[in-house]
Amino acid sequence: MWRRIAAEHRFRLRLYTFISFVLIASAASAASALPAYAQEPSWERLINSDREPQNWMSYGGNYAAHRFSALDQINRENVRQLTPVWMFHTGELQGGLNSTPIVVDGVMYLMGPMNRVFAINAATGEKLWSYVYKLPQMSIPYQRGSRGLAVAYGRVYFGTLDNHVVALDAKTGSEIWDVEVEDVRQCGCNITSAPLVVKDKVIVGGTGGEHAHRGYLNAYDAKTGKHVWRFYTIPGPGEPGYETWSEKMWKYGGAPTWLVGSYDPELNLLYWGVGNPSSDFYDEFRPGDNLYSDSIIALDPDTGKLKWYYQEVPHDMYDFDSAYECALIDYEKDGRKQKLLVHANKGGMTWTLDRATGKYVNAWPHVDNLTWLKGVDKNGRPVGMQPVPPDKETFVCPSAAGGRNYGHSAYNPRIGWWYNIGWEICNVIRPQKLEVKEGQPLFGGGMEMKPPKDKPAYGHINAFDPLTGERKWRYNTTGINVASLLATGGGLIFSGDVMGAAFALDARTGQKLWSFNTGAGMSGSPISYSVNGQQYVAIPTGMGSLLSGFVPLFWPESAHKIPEAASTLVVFALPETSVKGAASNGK
Amino acid sequence: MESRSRSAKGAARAIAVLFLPFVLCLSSFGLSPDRFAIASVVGADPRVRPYVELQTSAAQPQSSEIQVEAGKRVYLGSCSMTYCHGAGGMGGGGPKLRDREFTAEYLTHLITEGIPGTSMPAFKDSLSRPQVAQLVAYVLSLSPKKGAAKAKSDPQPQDQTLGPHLSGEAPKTEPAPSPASERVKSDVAVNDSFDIHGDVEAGRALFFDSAEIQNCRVCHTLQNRGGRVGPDLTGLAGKPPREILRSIVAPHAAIEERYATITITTRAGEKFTGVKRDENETTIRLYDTSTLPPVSRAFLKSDVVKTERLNTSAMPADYASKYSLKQLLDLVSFLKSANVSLKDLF
Repeated sequence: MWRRIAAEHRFRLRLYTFISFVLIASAASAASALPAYAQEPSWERLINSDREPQNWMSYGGNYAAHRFSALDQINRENVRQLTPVWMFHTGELQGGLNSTPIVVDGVMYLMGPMNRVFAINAATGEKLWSYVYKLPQMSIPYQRGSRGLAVAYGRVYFGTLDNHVVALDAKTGSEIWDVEVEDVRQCGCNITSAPLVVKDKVIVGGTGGEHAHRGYLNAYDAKTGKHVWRFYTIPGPGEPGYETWSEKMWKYGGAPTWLVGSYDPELNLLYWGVGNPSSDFYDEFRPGDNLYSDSIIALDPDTGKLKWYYQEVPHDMYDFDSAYECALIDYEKDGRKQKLLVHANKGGMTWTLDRATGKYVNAWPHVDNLTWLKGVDKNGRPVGMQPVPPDKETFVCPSAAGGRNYGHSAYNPRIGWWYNIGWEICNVIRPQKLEVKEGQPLFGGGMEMKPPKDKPAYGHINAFDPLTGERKWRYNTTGINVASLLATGGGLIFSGDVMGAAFALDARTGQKLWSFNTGAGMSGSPISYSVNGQQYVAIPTGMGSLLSGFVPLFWPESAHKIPEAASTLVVFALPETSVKGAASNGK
Repeated sequence: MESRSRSAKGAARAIAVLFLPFVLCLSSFGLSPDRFAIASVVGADPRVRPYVELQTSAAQPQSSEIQVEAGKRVYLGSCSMTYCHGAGGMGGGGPKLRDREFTAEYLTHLITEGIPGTSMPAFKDSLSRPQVAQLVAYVLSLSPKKGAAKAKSDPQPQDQTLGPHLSGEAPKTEPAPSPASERVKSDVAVNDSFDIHGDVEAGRALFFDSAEIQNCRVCHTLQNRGGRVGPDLTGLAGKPPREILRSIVAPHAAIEERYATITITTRAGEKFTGVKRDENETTIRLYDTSTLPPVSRAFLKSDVVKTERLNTSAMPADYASKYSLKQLLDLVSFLKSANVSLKDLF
C-alpha cells in the first residue's frame, strides 16, 4: 500500500506534527485544540472505514455506498434536542451546496460550488484553509455545484468544472498536481462528482450525457497524477458491444460516468453506474442496445478492464441514467448469504444483482407511476418498453429528471433495510431529429414536466428490504427530496427538503422526529461524525442544482427558497448538558 | 500496413463526415430568402440591427407566427430541458425566460456567444443564423406585451440592454465567413486526388480525435481548443508547409523560449522535466511532460534547489516514425487549412 508521503513535504509534516503535539499538550482541555493535520488516511484505513465511526472518510461513508454512520449518541430518544452548533458559508451562491463533506481526524474537507475547496475544524467550524480553483472564462456545461472530493494519503483530490483533476496538500491546501482530462471546449464534458481513491489510483467519472461525447472513466496515479487507464463506456470498433451502436454514433453517444462508484475489496471489483445514451430522446440514429449506457459496469481497478456489465435500460429513449450509487449489501436470510449490488435506476426501478457475477437477482419499482415498461423478463430486461416516436408528444412516467435524482440512498446494516427516495413526476417527451457535432448539446428533443395522471405531483422516502423490495414504510416528503439520505446507528434517517427543513425520521417507522428550518432548500448529502466524543450531523443547504428549477412548478411555495438561496453547511449536535458523561462514541 | 489502413479508414470517415454537413448546408440554402435577410442583419454587427427590421423591412417569406413556431421547435431541441430553461421558458434549472424584458439584439448575442462562467453555451456552432433568429422570435413571444413592445419601440441603444456580463468589451466583429462555402471548398479538394494531397479532415482527426488519449490537442491549442502546454498552433497556417513539417518531426531544431524545456530539482533530490507553466512569489508550476497527458506540478520555490534549461524540446521526437508520411501530410494540411501536396514538403 502506498503510504509514502511526497518527500518534499516530509519536513513540514514533522514540523506540523510537532507543533500539534505541543499545542495539544499545552491545551487544558483537548476540546478545541488545533486538530491533528491529516497525513492520512491510508488505504488500510479507508477500506476499513467502518472501524472508525468518528470519521466520514469517503463519498458514500464507506466503499459500499451505505451512507451509514454507526454513531448513536444522537438517537430516537434525544434527537428532538438537536441544535445547530456552527455554520460554514462557502461565499458562492451560484451552485448552492451539493456536496458530501469528508471528515478525517477532526478536519472537515468541503467542496463548495465553482470548485472552492475548504478545510474546516470539524468541531468549531473555523476555516483552516481554502483553495479556489481558477476557472478560465468559459461556459460551464452542466451545473456550477460539485458533489464532493476525496481525501487520501495526506491529499485532497477533486475534479473541476473545466475537466481537470487536481491534488492538493491536505495540510495546507496548496496545489500539488493538476491534469486535464480533456478540453472542455472540445468535449462539452466536465467533472461535477467526487473522485474515488482505490489503492494507488484516483478514479474519476465525468458528465457528457447531454452532449455529443464518448463517455469514459479515467484512473490517475494518486501520487504523480500520471494517467493510468481509461475505460470507454462505449466500445470502439473491434470491441465487444460495438455492434450495439451505429457507425455514426459510437463516438458521440454519451454514456457518462457522472457520479461515484463503489468498490469491493474481497472481489477487487470497482462498480460504476453509467448514464444515458446521447441524444437523450431522439434515437433513430443509434439503433441497438447502446452498451454500456444505462448499465452497471464492474472493472478491475488495477487495469480498467471490464469484468462484467449489466444493462438496466437497453436503448434508452427517456434519459434514464444508471449513474446512481451502487449499494453493496451483504444479505442474509434463512442462513443463505448473498453478496448483492442494489441499484436505483433513474427510471424508478431498482435492480438487485449478484455483485460477484453481475447476474440478475431481482427488480422492483420504487415509485408508483411507471409507464415506460410493462415488466421485466427472467433476466431483468425490461419488456413492453414505451415507444417515443419523433415529433410526437408522449406522456412518460417517471420524468427525465427521474423517479429520484442523485440524492443518494442509505443502508442501515443493523436493521438490514435500504432507504431510498421516490419522485412522482412525469413528463411529455417530444423527440426531434438534430445534427450531431462533437462537444455540442445533444438532447434530441425536449420534455415538459407534468404531474402523474389525475393527481398532483408528490414525493416520498421509503424503507425497503433490499432483496425483495418489500416496502417497510413510506414517509411523504414536502415536495420532492433532492438531498441525499443519511442512516445512523442511533436508528435515524437524516435529510433535508426543498423548503429548507432539515429533518430526522425514525429508521424503523418513518415517523418524523425532528426538523429545523434552515431557510434554504437542500440538495447536498448530510453526514455524521464525531470529535472528542461529541457527535455532529452536518447538512448542506442551498439548492443550486439544475433540478431545482422545476420544483416551484408543482410546489409554488418553494420558489423563494430555491434555486440559489444559500451555500451553507449547517452542523448540529446535542446540547452539551445532554452529552456529558456520554462520550462513548468516537475517540 | 497498419497505418496505411488507418489512414484509408480516416479518409473514408472524413469523406462521410464532410458529406453530411454538405447536405445539410444545401438544405439550409433551401431557406435562402430568409437566410439572406438575416445574414445581412447579423453580419454587420454582432449586436445586430433591431429585430424589428427583420420583421418589417426585410423580405418576409415567413410570417412572424411561422417564425415563432419554427423557433419553438428549435427551443424544444436546444433549450427546453429541465436542466436548462424548461418548457415554455419556465421550470428549468436555468433562468426563467417568460415575462422578461429581452430585446432581440440581446438574445441574439447571448444565444450566439453564450455566457462565459455560466452553463449557457455559445450556440454559434450548433445553430444556424435562421435558427437563432427563429429562437429569438420564440423567446420574445414568451413575454407577449413587454417584450414585443420593447423591441418595437426601442431602436437600440446598445449597451443599455446588455446584461452586466456582456457590457464589458465588445466582441470583435467578424463578418462571419459563410460556413457553407468553406465546407464545400474542402469537400471538393478532398475528392481531388487524395493520394498526393494531404487531407485536412484526416489531419483534424489526428490532431483532435477524442478516441485517442494522446494526440496533438493534449498539448497544443488550435482555434481555441486544446491544451496550453505547447505553443498555440493557430498561427502556423501562414508558415511554409516544409517548416511546419520540420517542427513536427524535428522539434528540437527551433525552440521558442517560452516553451523551453527545464528541469527542476527539489530539496528531496527529485527531478522533474517539462515546460514552465507559470510562477508567483512562492510557487513555480511545471507541465511535467514525461507523461502524456502532461501533469501540471506545483513546487514551493523554497523547495527547489536547481532549475536548468535544456536544449531539447519537450515535444516527443518520434513523430517521424510514429506517423506515416500520409498522416504527416494530413497533419500539415490541417495546420495550413489547405490540402498540401507531397512536393510542397520536399
